[in-house]
Amino acid sequence: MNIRRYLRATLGACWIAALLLGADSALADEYFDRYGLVPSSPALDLGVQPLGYPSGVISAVMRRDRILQKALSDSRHPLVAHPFRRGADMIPLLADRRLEAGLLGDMPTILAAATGNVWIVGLVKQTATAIVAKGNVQIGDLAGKRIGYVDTSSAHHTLLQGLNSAGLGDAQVKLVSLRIDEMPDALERGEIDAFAAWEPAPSVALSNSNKNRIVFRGLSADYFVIEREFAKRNPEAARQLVAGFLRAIEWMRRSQQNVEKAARWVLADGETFSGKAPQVTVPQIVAILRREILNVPSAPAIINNPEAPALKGEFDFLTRLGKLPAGGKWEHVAAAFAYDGLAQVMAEPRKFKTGAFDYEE
Amino acid sequence: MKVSISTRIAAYFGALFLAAVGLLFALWYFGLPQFGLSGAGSQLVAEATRSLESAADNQVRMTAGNLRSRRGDVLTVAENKVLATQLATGDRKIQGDIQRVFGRLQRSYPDHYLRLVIVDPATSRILASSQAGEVGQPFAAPALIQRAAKPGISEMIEQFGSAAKGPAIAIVRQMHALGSDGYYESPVLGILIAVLDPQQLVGDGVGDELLISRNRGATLLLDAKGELLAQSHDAHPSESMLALSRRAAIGFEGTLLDTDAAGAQTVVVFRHLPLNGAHGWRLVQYLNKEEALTGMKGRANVLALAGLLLSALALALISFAARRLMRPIQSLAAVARQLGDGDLTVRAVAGPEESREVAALSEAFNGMAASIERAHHTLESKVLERTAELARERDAAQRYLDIAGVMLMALDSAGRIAMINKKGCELLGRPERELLGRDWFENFIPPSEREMVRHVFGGLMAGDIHLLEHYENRIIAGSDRELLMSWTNTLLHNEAGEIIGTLSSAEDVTERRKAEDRVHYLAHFDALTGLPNRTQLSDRTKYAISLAQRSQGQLALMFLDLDQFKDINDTLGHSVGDALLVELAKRLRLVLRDEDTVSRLGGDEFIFLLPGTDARGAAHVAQKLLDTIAEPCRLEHYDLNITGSIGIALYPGDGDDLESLSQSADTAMYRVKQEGRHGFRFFTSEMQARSARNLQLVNALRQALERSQLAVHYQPQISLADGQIIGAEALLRWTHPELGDISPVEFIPAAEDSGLILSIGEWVLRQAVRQAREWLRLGGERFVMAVNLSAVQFRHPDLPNLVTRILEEEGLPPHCLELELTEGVAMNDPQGAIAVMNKLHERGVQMSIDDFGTGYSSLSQLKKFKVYKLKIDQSFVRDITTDPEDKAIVGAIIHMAQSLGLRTIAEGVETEAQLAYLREQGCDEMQGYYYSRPLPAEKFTALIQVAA
Repeated sequence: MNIRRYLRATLGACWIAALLLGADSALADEYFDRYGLVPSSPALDLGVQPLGYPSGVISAVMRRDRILQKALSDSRHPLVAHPFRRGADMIPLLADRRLEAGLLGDMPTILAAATGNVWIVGLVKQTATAIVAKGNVQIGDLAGKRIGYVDTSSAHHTLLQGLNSAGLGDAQVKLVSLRIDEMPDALERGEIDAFAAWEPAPSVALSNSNKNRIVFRGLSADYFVIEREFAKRNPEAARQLVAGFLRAIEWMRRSQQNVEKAARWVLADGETFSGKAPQVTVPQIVAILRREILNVPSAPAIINNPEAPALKGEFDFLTRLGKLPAGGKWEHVAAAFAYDGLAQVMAEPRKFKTGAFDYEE
Repeated sequence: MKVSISTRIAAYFGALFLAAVGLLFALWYFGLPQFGLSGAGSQLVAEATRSLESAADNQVRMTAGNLRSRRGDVLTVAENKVLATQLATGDRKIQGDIQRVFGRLQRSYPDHYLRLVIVDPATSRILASSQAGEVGQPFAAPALIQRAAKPGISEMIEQFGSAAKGPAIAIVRQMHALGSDGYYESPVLGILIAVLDPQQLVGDGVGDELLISRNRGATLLLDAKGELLAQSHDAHPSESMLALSRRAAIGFEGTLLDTDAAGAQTVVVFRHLPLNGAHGWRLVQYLNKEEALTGMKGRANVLALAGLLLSALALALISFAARRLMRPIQSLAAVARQLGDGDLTVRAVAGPEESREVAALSEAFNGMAASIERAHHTLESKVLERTAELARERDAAQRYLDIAGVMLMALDSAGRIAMINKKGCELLGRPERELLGRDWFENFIPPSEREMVRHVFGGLMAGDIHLLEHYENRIIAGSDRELLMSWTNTLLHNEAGEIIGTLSSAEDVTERRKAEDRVHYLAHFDALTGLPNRTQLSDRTKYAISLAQRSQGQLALMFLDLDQFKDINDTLGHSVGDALLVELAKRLRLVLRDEDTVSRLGGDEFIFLLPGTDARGAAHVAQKLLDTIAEPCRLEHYDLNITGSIGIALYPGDGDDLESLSQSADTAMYRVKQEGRHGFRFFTSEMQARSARNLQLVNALRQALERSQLAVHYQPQISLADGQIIGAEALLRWTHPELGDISPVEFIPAAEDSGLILSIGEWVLRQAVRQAREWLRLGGERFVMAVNLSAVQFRHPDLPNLVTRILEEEGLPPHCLELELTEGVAMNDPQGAIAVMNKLHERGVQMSIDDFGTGYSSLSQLKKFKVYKLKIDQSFVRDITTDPEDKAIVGAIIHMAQSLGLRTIAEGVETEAQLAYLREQGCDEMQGYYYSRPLPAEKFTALIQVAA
């Protein structure tokens, strides 16, 4: 029962995000214009997503990191976190330097990096998008079937990857554009035969009926990015920010108590941001954290693999759909991995106090 | 074969049971997709897929856990302060310590660790190693050391295998000196490399708990590039399986049911094994679909066997029950069979244990049996009475049939003789008792006609009344005799109207048919030679012409007349002549093709019809025929040599029917005759014209006498001794009202050919004799009337009598008549000529040779001729004054005649010089224009009177 409630709540949040995905920029301005973000701001403006996990949890821990706050204050770049409903909203702000850093999903990361605006610092989460179908079917059985999807999403990319692995093309299925929260119910009503979506929609569908099955999964990830110009002009502040990011993950890895504390923080942040009490529980957030970031070996480091097939595949996917911004190139994305801030921080743990932890309660 | 009710009941129930079992089996096996149910096969595959996915998840989980443990081990070693210190101080004890650490790791995780090495990040030389011998050696992968030594690179997991040693993975960590606060106290002191056997990540040790899982399949572990790192012990992946394993992109998870290159269907589950934020491996769990269904096949076999056994058991039980149920009915059936076999006293006995239905059936049966017994007795007496009556009627009918003059016979439906009358027995030569019941067709129809006659009979039995029409066939009458019978049939029906046989009357038409065949033969064939006669020739010619018309082809028709065949008949008799014709007919047939026809028209005339033959072919055949005819023929001690004359006409140029073609051929043949015989000629337009003219003349000549168009003119014959008229030559003249004066040279041959010469000659002879008697009365005592005889007249046997009769009727003394015979006619048949001359001479008629000098008279024969005068042909006389040769010939003739005691007369004398010479040579008489042209009788009379 609890997990269902959690899933529905998360799905609701995603639904809101999906609604906004189709809204115009005037509508988006309504909530983050009040942040008063300007390029010339001395503060280090960090874009966060308090309704997303584990992204929101990491940012919640970073916001409470006194060591980070002090280091940045000393460098006259106090940290200011700005909540966003979705990562796509941060892209233009990073582009015009109103944001100095942010935690983004894979598609926004590619869109931001393709124009050469940001460095990709490290991994925020590693998860999967899934294709869910009803009954004993496999991916190859979806030929001619109706499949719900969100256009230009990582799930869309996963769907095409899955179909391709079974020798099928998108012309051999009937794609039905749906909001992410509509998909489980549409599957139950028989309006679609399958859907491709990210969490928590697959989990909701699985809890709705034991006939529903995940027939295919694709990798998806969130990344921590830093605006390049800021890193160039204020490399030390940037490294301190990276140290705070690294420290947050290390702190959560240290103990269950820390993780649960971080979960409570993010619940509070989310309520503050959305005005509603989140339905998700602390244990659920902890499970997500462990599965998607804390148990990922070496995370948040991304070791020397700019050609990561998942990310490159998604870039090609966006290219094919014509969604890339003007001047967007894969070379820019690959170069975004060249940032060595994380390595420098890891190489000088004492300097950046990656083993020291001091968080506001 | 009849099947008992019990068997049927058992079979029906058994079949239904089997069908039900089969249906259930099919439902179990295949399911009913339309009702949303899955078949057992699909369910098993789905279950296997789930098991496989579960196994894959477990495998990933265990592999990840195992890997995490190993990384923890390596982390522990990398952060070992003792080792860090030894590195920092260059303490050589580090080698022993690293070997001890390696030994502990091996004891804790047997076979997991292959090697443990610490490498100097600056020189890439090995500082310490679990393999002591390589200390100080350069590390084999310096690039790895360079990457691992970069700042911030805490850990790396890389494939570290080789083709020779197999796959291996390396966990790489930097080694630093650590302070008391846990932070690094130094830069990178060394690079720790733990080399592991990846097989242990997925091997039995790891997967023990999976072994109890059915359909767990086999496991493959591949790196991001698709290189195989490890596999479970039961995995034996083919190349196609490996290719299948690399299909899904790295990071993706799912299940595919695919077919490999060998055609085997395989369930493949992909799972992602993350190594860090950017790297991952691919774990593949797969299971052959057949393996997933293995259990099901066993269950299917058991189910099928159970179904069969159950069906067999049900069949046996049903059969047993059905037999018990049917037993009283079978008893009743046995009693009924007895009744049917004639035991009218048999009755059914129903025991008290029998059912009501069986008891009622037995009672009803017994009642029926009693009724049958009574009816049988009544029927028997009636049958005996009726049989006697029928026997009497039959005897009476047989007597009527026996007095019939034709054969009467009845056959039953099987073709056996059911009745035959006396005449029939006589014809077949057997008594009635031997004939009745015998198969008519097998015993009395010749094998050659048996099928046909049996077919007709079969048609009659089937009701084909068209076959009732009159027909004929042969029968076997006695051992070596066949008769041709003419049949008239009628059908015999029973009371229900069904055909039960035939009644036939037959008449022996053997002799009649032979006679008719003979008549037919004679109507179409020449009785002597067997060749087709004119009737058949006409039919064949029509047919050949119709074919030629359609194909626009040609045909040749040849007319053959044997030369002087009459002489053979006359001299050797008709039997030899007929034998010669038969022999020649055989030879002629051999020369011809099958499609050619040779027909004898009568006498020695044959016509050949050669379809599709042009002039060249006809000439070739004609020559062969002539050569064949000319070959000597020995008949009855005679060696006969004969020749033939052939005229050829071609269709369509020379005629378009038999009549016109044969006429043309005849004309051409006649030309051959005229030209000396023994040859062939084609009909020509000139012949046609002459023939037409000839025909015209003949037709006109037939009426010339009646219409007084003929007249006799007389040319005076003068004695050279005294210049007195001593006679005249009667010359026939014909003046036609339309054709004008027609020369004797033209119409005399036509008259001869047509036979009119006889009547015309008789008329001329009578006119001349009558006129001579007239002039004799006027005082010409010495007057002699010369009349020409044609060859036809001369050969006519009645000539002497005719001459005698006319002389007597007209009252002219025979010596006043001189019959002129041409040298050619006389010499053509000297013996015949001598005989005729003798007869005429005996009657006092004088004979002379006309146109002497143009033939080939021999002196010996001339002496035998009873002639008294030779007439020198005018062709010699005409040139005696100019041509010394003619002059000599004329002189010789005159002198020869004188020496033989014959008189001479020169004809065609026109000049004084000619006359002088003749007189000088001693010629006795002359006639010609010098003295007078031929004159009508009145003018001649006047001339006599003047002369007198």
